[in-house]
Amino acid sequence: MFRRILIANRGEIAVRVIRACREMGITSIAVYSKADQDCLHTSLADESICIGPPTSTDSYLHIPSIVAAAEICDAQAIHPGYGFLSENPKFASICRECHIGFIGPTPEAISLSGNKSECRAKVKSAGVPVVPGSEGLIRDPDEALKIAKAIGFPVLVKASAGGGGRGMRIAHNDVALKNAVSMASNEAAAAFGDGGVYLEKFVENARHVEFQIFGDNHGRLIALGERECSIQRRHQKLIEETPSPALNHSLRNKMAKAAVRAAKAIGYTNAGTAEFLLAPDNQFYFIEFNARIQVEHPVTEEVMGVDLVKEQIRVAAGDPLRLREGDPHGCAIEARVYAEDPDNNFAPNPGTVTRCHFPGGPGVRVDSHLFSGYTVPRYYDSLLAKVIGYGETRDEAIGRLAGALDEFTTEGVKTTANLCARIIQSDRFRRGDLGPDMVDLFLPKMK
Amino acid sequence: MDLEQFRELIRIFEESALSQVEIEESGLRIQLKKPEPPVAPAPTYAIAAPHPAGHAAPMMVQAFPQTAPPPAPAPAVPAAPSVASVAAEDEGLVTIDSPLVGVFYAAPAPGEPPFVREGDVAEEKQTVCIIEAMKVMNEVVAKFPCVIEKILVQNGEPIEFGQPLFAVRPTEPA
Repeated sequence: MFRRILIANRGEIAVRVIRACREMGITSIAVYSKADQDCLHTSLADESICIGPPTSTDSYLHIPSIVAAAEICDAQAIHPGYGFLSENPKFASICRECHIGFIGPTPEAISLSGNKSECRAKVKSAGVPVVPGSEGLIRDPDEALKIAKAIGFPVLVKASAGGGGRGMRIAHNDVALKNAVSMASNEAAAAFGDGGVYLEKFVENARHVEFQIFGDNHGRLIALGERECSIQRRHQKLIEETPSPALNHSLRNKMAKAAVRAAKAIGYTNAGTAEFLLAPDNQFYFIEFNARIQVEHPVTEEVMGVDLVKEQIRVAAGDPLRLREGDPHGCAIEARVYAEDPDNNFAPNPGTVTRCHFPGGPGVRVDSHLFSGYTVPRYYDSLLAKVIGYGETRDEAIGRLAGALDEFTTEGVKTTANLCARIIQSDRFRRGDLGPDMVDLFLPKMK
Repeated sequence: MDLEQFRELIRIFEESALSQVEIEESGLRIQLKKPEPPVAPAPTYAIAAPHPAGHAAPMMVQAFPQTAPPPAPAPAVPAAPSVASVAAEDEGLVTIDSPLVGVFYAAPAPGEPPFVREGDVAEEKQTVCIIEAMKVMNEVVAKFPCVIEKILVQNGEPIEFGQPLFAVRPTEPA
């Protein structure tokens, strides 16, 4: 087992990994930028080291600095968290060359997951249904038009290197498609340095259901239930829950098997997520693979009674997987609290949290790096906290989460906590009738 | 506090070496803060892939010493209390800070004389040390001519980003 682990991340996920290390008796080493000197991960870790200026390209994304920090701190492994370098195959392979353990999948599997069009083709050949669309990248707008006519409008233009909603456009007709192709391509070239795009049929009123996957280095690979992430703003998740109200036992089993087949086709190890679209007719389609621990992993932990981060560390050290497939027990819902103003188009709202209070009580979990006096830097993702409500039934989970969000206090910055509370207490949410259009219903009408 | 006193307060604060002042007086709370010193332009160092044979071509690194006085509010670096005391003793001193995280080497190779010793004069662009990161030797150079008053770290010591390496006294260019 590793004795010293460096955490190449910040915020709540760095705190989450440090807590796992503490529990396991592993020395944790935090890295921080000049803007994060007073952050919780910096003070909570056993050791900490400054790796660069505030801009993430010169600190948390700067591979030589992270690797040099691991070397001078004598770290045996690096946990990349999510975001930043977590899905960077170059980083994973440099770790391998430098004999530093990478707590995640192999560089090859990360590389394949990151190339969405290639990944889609691999998964399709393993017999997993994918959304009808182009085979590989599209070369020009004329080819896109031909394919769109064959599969039928509306279509989705997606960047092969995309993510987080960037490099993605919906087109309802010929003219819109031409624009969508060039806009998605330009956006992806600017954001990811790769302008390759592909085409997919836009599945209307689809729900977003993903499956937790876990594989070890000894050939065992399992699915650990699903998470429904249909409540999104700007293509980014806001509320997640498990089990999904849309799945019954047989559909869950069918999708879990497809998720395992997809992961095997990619050669996946450690924790990952297979994302699916679920159409109203219960037809499901694989869309992409996330080669990292997900933000919303706590809901799976609550209903499956597992600790995914500790298991990640064990598996990366070469241990066989201890987890077992099984049925979820109870229901867990997570609300993401961002430092954003929902009444102002989710504009980021950095500032100082003058006072904060976390809820408690049965079935309530808060994963956060917040403390009174914390200044939310403007350089990074604005996620402040994840508040999770767990209950024997979905109603109990909703009740606990609603109470927790009401109690959750952050003075000084505007957050999405109240918006989440209103959404989960709505009749539509209680009915389990979820969709990406839902958030808009709770926002002030745009002029 | 009236407006005149407030103006006076701002004037005193601006002239002081303090970076932040907080005053609380009968229900009134005033917080004055100076803008952070501009972040030095991203150091222009390039990192090559580790060389298979183990030696790597030295890279040029521009170190940006903290802006010179008057009153040098040497940003308090908690890792190096020695600098604060150096700066307090002698206001003419500034520090050369590490532009990256790595290992500090005072000499080009083991057994060779160091790039600089305390008391030496360093020319502009003269190499003062090496920071090794990922098997790449990154040369740190003086941004301006100066006298090396104090070397603040040990040979072979692990160095954080921004850690002061040398306390130097700028000299007038010839």
